[in-house]
Amino acid sequence: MKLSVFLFFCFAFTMVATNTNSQNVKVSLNQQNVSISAVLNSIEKQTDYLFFYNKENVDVNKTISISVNKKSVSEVLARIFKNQGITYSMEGNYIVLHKKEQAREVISNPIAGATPQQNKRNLKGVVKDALGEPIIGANVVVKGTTNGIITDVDGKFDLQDIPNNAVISISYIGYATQEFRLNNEKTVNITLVEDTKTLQEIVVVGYGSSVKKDLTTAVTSVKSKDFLQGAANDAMQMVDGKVAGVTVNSTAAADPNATSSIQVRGASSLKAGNSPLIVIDGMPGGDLHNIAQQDIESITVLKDGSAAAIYGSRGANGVILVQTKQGKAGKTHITYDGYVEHDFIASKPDVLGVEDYLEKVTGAKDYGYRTDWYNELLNKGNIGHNHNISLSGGSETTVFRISTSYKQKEGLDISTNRKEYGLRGNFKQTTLEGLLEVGGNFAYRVADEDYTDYSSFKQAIQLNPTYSADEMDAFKGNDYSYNPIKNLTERDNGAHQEYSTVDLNMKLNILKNLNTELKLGRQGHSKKSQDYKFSTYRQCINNGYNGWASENQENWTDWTLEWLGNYSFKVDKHDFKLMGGYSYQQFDYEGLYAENGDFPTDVFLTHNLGAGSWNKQDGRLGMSSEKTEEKTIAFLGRVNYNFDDFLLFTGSLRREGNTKFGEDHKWGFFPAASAAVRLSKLPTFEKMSFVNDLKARFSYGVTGRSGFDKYIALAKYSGFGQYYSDVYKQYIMGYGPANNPNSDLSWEKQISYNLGIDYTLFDSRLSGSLDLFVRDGKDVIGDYNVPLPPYLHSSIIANVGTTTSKGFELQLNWDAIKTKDFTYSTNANLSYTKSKLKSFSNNKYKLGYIEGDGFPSPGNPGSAQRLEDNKEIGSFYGFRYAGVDDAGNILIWKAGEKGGETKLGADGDEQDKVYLEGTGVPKWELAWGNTFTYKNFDLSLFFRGRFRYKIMNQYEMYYGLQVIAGDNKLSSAYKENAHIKGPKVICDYFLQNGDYLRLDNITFGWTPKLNTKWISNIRLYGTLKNVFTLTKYSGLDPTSVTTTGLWPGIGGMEVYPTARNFTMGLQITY
Amino acid sequence: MKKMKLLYVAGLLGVMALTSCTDLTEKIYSDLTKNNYYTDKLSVEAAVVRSYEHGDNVTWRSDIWLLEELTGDHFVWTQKGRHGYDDGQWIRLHGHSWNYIQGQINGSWVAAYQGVSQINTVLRDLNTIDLNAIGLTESEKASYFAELRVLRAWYYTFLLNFFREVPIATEQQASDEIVPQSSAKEVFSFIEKELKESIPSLPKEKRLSRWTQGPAAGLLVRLYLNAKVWIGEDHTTDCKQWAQDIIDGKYGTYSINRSDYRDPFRSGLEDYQSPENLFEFWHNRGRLEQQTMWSWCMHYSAAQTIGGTDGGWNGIHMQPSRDFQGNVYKFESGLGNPFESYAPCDYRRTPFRTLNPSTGNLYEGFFLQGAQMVYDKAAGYGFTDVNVKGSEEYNGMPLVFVDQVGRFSEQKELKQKDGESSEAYKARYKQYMLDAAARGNYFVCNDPAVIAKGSQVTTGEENSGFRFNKFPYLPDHDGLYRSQSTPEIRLSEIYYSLAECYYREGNKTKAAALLDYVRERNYPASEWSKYSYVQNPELLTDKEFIKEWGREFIGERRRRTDLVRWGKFGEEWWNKEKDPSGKELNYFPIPQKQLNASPILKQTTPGWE
Repeated sequence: MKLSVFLFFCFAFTMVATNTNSQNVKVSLNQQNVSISAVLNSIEKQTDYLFFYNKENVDVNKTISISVNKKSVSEVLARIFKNQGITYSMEGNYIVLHKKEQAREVISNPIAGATPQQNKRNLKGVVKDALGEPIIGANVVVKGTTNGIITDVDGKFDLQDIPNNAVISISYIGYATQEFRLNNEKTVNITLVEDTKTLQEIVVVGYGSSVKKDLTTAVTSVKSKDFLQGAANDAMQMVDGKVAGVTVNSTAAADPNATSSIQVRGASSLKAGNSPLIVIDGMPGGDLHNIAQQDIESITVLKDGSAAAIYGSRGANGVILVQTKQGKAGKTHITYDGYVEHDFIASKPDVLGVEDYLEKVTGAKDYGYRTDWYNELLNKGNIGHNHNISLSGGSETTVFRISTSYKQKEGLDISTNRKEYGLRGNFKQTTLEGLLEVGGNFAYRVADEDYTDYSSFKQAIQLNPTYSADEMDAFKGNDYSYNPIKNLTERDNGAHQEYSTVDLNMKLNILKNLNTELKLGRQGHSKKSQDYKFSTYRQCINNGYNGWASENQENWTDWTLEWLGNYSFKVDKHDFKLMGGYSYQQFDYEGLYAENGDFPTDVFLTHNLGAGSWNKQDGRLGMSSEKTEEKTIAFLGRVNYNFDDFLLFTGSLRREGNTKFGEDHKWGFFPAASAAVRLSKLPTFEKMSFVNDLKARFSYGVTGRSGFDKYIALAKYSGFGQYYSDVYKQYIMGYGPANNPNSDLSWEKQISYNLGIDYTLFDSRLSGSLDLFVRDGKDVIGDYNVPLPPYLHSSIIANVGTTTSKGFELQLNWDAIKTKDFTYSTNANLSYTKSKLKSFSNNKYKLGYIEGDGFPSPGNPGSAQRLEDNKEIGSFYGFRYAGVDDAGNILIWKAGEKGGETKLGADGDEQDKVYLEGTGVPKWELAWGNTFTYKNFDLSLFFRGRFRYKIMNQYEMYYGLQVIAGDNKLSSAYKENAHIKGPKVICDYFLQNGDYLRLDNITFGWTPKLNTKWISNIRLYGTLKNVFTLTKYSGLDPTSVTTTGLWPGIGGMEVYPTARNFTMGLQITY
Repeated sequence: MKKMKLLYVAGLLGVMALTSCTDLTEKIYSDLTKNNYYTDKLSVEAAVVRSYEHGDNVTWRSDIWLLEELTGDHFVWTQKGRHGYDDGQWIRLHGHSWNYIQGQINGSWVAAYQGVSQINTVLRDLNTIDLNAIGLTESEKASYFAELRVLRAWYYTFLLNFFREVPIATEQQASDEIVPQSSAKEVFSFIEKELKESIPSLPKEKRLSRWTQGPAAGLLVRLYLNAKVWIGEDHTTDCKQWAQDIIDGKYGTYSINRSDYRDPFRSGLEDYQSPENLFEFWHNRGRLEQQTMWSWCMHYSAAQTIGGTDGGWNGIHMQPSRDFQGNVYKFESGLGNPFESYAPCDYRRTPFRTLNPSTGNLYEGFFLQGAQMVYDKAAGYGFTDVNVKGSEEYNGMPLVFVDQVGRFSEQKELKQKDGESSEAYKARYKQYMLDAAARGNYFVCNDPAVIAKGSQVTTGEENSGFRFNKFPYLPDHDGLYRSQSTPEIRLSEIYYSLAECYYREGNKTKAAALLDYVRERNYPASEWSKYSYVQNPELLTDKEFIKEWGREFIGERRRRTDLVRWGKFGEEWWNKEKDPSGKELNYFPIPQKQLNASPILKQTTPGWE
């Protein structure tokens, strides 16, 4: 069977034509007395076109003679089929031949049928985009007919045989189709505008992509144009607040070496991790550090369990899919995208001035100097800049993009610095007549990091301000007080990190609707940490070391092999897509650590470990090394079913195994199903003209977690300490059981339900979605206390307990005003989440509760949180404040009963502790973006807020009380808290409302139109971040408080200075 | 056709993937697993010594030590201004007001049972592995069994002592079988049986850092001496018998060096082995270090005084013997005043200092007292004339340890006077500290505001209390630092135990002779006649006997047990009232954490149910 015929049948079933093609290809033919089919073959050889036809209708055996030199295909075809009653239409690369009277599609347009076949005329024109660039290959057709043509390299077309009153339709992928009724024009200039309608958006989903309107699950995608502008220290800061239900915690937003923690729809794991899986360009387990922010095209979050279930064991915390920008066919673009930035200090702790300190603080001593410690730690002249240059382009068969970037950022403190540079490239080559597609990504990125020490910011508050900024002697032998400046300057602590990714994809398009894809990848990350403490550093002084050096070399290597197959078919109105695959990933880790001390000089830093003499003493061993390995293997499959765009269904199944589980429990099943009904197709809604699209969906999915330590199911024997063996007459390393092995350790599962509505209303000007979800964690992996005996260790890592999260998310986008010069659009995300621990025990393990982390020294007053059955995650547990006694000591309510008996806080015991009101998890999160454009100017305002949560303010508790003699304090110690003279007690007095609303980002941009061929697009912008915050929280910054994880809402003391960031950016595209 | 070929290749690839890439065996690199651990005799020895190493760790530098010593009348962990409050746990231990979630109570349970489970694991392993394959003989196995059973019995003495009714877990049970509690009597009998059965299989003579017949017999002496309180049975006869046999050399050759009061405690230094120590944990710098008292007891600046590395946490010190004016306390119970209970001529009272090794002794004295001086690094011993400075209440001033507790730094006298220059003030302050040192290491304070704050666990200062250095920390050279042994059982204990048996029987003469045999080395010959019990029989009273246990065994992890046995644990001493009634305080409640973790464990301590 001839290939073209074979393909035709496939085509007839699928009717999918998405490729774009231009009609500027010319052919030359000189053939005498050959069959039409031979001529068509020749054309196929000379071009990318493939012909489709039904032999019943098109007689290709007829012999003809033809001689043309560099004529367009359409011209050639016109000659071949002259007077044969055969017409053709072009569908991307395919040319479909059919009988003239036989319309390929039934289009109920009265014009075509009603118009008599006379008075035909021609129309010439040019199609351009909004920037005035010609659009090559746009389809210009007479609506309701097969009469059409494709624009040439200059965007020009010449359409013939147009009946009167015809409607001309001009379309091009990615642009809104334009139609107009032809009157008497002979020539027209058409400007196509890019189709920004969300409906047509392609959204990546796990192992594939989907048109947004056909999604059956809760998936939110943020495109690069919607990213928050301005400097960002990591990619997730750019979408913070853009996705309802995703919490990005940047507790040290101004520290370029810090990373955000991400949490999707609340915390629900105890031990197996709460951060989502990152997938970069289809490669699971990616590292966001290996991406320059300008290289990102979109960030997509698979929020519900059904969407994430295709990623099985790592999907339970949500999946974040990052797509990098890819090359496009056509003109080669060079883009520069860069900015400079500066951090201003946004808020400083309100500590007592020197005079107040000396006057008010008990035990205050004046050492004669005046030092503003906090101020001394700040690098006020900090500057950062970021540059990215990319080159992209391609042809019909090859696309590529390469980019290189450089980023440098000084921290807001005197010791933080970060330099980052990298290269990223991707390509895609189509060959063997479209049969084979080969693509790949490579990325290499280097980061040089200089670290700070957050404890200095804490020390700067409490330290007596009358010491000299150079003072060291007074702190000798003292771990509690030290010079916070020297703590940073006398230490050289940093790391050199290298990230690399290489992946190769080979896709074989066996049939138009059947393909198979093989992906091979390696992701590498190496980190060399270097820490040198100068002989003048406090620990060296205290311990008499002449310098202390350590180096830690760590390497992570992930190997990936994935093999997928896709098949699709259509029966009548039933559209099926099938996908199946295999995934293999191996994670290797190696670490090598060495340390030494007592160097002859500080000059070597960490570069000559052998020069130190500390290790030369017998019995000392300044080194260690480690290697671990983990594998996951999975088989996966998915079916998509679409009935007439009305009913959509997706079902998927992943069978996944992981090495870390008990011997007979390594494999788990992760099924998911979701369905959607396009309500807008129901007659009721069809009548409502304001409804463009309305879809209700429901999903169910099971996902797992495996983010816990390796080797815990095994009975490990580890070396502990040395002991003298008189048998061997020497010290030998004692080896003993390292853990309570648990060969029953199996998958932690999360069962998710999601009910959602996607809506697009009022000419697509109002769109968004509403989602309600329930997530139940089962067989939650946790550290459970076990009885001793028989167990050796106090806890075992086992599957016990259930957690649950409930909530809803509302997303809303509204193009409120759209005029020629002025537009205003706004979008809002609102989410509500409530997570609790349902149960935490079974017959074998009975823990009762887990206590939160203890509060730090001085005082170590215990913990402020507890997790217990049926308690919300983040619940505070402690005493209830009942005022103070005559001496100013904190009183508490006995047994926590307000209005009952009081007792001294210091005498409070377990019986007096109760659950306090509120939790550390914000119930509500709101993000509100506003964009205004006027001519070439744009302005956006982005607000963000978290509501209904409490923060246990350690800052206030430790520095806002008078009791600690000699230390400096917050001025609140003698104002709001002046009545308290006694020591701190963990009680609700220090529990504050964490609610805040912040104007997070203002960006003003200018996109001038330049009449030069050298610049096709230029944009200048300025961004101010963290403009103002409305809050009652008295700590430095509510956003510096962690609200994710199991112990949220503790306003700690070691807080990096908070910044107000200003960025000036420039984007130029050739 | 090429299409078909490609399909075929793809299919083949798929089949390969299905069959070969589903292996999920966990590959292990830096650890060993039970399956590949036992390969030779060394691996067996390594598993056995791990159990010992744990024992040293958890009984001498962990919660078990804290429970024994911080609940008694010798030591206290005071709050020192902003440091040392630690959630009130030290206050509770000192005031006998612990609750069932007290960390040290749970910690002691965990420590002992971890030891038990380690031993049970090794014993189970020894019963199941192929001995021939690793070259272990049956007699070697039997010998390992014997010493590990003694080690396990030793752990059970702590459990019996602290909790009475505890589960008896042995290698006979399955590794995850939850065993119910036994009565105190059953636990007692189990320990007795284990020791008696093991002793014949153990070597008679001492092995370094290992259980042999002597110390195992010593454990029986401990068991019988306390039998009355632990299980309500009198085992004096057994106790006397075993103690006498040990002294007579039936279970190995041991002796007391009667010419050096330091002898059992300097064992380990320069490889010296004291003949007195039946069982000692042998330490070596960089291998297994003696760190027991360092962190808890030493001042932040201790490295400067001792010539070592790192500072301590400045936590535990001896309970004060003096009040605000410097008068020695007098408690009705006769307890407390640990330092002042030593006679002025007692060698142990000498302020601790390192000596020129040419004198034949490395150091003298058991306690750090008074003005702390910087170690003389150049000489390699002794002190320079530079004062170590304080860094908290006495920041920049000479650090002078006083035998008092109170907020002395807050005295009016120590405030800068109007018109006083900064220099003059500093000089006056410094002199004040040096005067206290010269006076005998105490302040004389008459400031009513300071006195009103009291001498309490909560009113310590950085220089409060003398510091314990009986297990001597020496300068960090020649392997001296942290290389001293920790004597677990020494012959003196056997003498004292035997003496107690005779004393209780009314045979004071015999008791006095036994005690004097050990005590004499602590006194100059010229003064001995004043302190000898033989020569002054009237001295040896109940109060004196319990005091003498304290003098000899201070810091040796037995004070609570001795006080309980003498019925004195509920008495009053510094900053402690008589114990209230209602709750059993002579031993501890079963920790709440363990009750939570076990489906069958019950609270069996009276008053705590």
